[in-house]
Amino acid sequence: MLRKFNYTGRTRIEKSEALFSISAESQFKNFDVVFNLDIESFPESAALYIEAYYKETRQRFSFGLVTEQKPPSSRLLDEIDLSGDTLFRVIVVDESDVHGKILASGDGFRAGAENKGNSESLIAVGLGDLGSEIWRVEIEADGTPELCLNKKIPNAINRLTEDRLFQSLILPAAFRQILMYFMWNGEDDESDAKELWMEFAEKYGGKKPFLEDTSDTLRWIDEVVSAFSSKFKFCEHALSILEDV
Amino acid sequence: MKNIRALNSKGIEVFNDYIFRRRSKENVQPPYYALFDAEYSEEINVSIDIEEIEFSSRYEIGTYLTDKFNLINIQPYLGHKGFWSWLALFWFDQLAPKKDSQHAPAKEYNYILSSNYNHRPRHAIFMTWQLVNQYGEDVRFMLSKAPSVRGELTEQLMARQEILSSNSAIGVASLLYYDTNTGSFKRGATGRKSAGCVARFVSWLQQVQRTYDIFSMSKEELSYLLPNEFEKFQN
Repeated sequence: MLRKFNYTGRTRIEKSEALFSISAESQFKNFDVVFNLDIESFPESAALYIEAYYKETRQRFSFGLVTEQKPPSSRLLDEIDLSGDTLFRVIVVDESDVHGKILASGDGFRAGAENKGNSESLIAVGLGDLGSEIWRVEIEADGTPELCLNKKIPNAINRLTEDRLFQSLILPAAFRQILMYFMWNGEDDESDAKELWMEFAEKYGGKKPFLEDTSDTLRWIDEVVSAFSSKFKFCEHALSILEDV
Repeated sequence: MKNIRALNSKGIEVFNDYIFRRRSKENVQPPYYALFDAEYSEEINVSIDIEEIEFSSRYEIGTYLTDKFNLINIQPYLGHKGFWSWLALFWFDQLAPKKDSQHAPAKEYNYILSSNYNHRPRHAIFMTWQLVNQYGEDVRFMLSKAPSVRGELTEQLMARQEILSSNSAIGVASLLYYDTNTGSFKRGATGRKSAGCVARFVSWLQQVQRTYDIFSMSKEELSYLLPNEFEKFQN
């Protein structure tokens, strides 16, 4: 399996290496996980942990050693906020020293049944109570952006795919916000979401600049959004609709 | 004694509208009528009595709610917008700062629970309860001011969601910044760039987390890794 390395020397655990499922019993949820880790790449004493989280709520479970996994008898998610999709983090820790060192980690895992992302969809679109705002980009705890539309707008989600005026007023601005987030707030972000968005942006604006140069970064974002808007002819479509009114 | 309820969407709308109008200096009153009117709020599945107590600090609010919520299963209400917003409206008079004897509320997400990851930790009641419930005395220094005072320290620490769930991070923050003489935080803690300030502590934690598993460390183990710049706060 191709592993990605960062400069901390920590390896990344890929989505295919831990498959999660959630079962619901009354108001509580339990989770299960099937690991497909390359255990030979870790020291025998390395410990394996799972963290379930949503927003700032988090619950940690010890699964024993990587080489001798012992799932906890209770995998009840009873300490986290269950009002949204539960996310999971897998961590392998070298605990041979006083200070446990992270050897490998993977973030943003979702239970199969709840997996709303797929390879064709960069962004989830949802409805929310936004007061007088029409739309807002919200960043989930795993770094995935979600485009939230005001639920008061009739047929809002369909409008986003069918109404060219609606699209042209929202999509370029939302894209700009997401890029701003990843370029400035997500510098430590090693998530799949960031990788996908950067890959997508580079199709329009070429290689992203180094973060140190703010003006280069802003210029690059402008180029990306401009090229994206040209490809989908947002202004032209909006004009033709406005001229027909 | 009153039973806690949850604002419904209409209740949240009138509360939000009030905050917006008051922030625009309109002469309007908090919509307290929404608290017990079935048109604006609803009963919840458990019975929790609360009183109209004058709290001296957010820490007191946190301990009060921790005692109350320890008696029930609070999990279904963890991200419940109506539940936490109702509580903020119930104690709004204490939570909102006053100017010329009129309420001068902060942004709406301080009172109405937001789903936005940046704004949710700003909720005056939800975050206060979460901190005290998880860390007790260790967060006294963050919540020692009057209920109407938004804690700058809390907001800086909560800017990273994962810090809230780290015993060692909160424990070390308490060791560093709690002034036992004043019961509040030490002078210089809220600086933005000065050596050893909370903002520097947060960026140091971000770096450490990339290498170490801070969640399995004790506060003593984590504090051992502190660089010299924090020395002045360690005494």
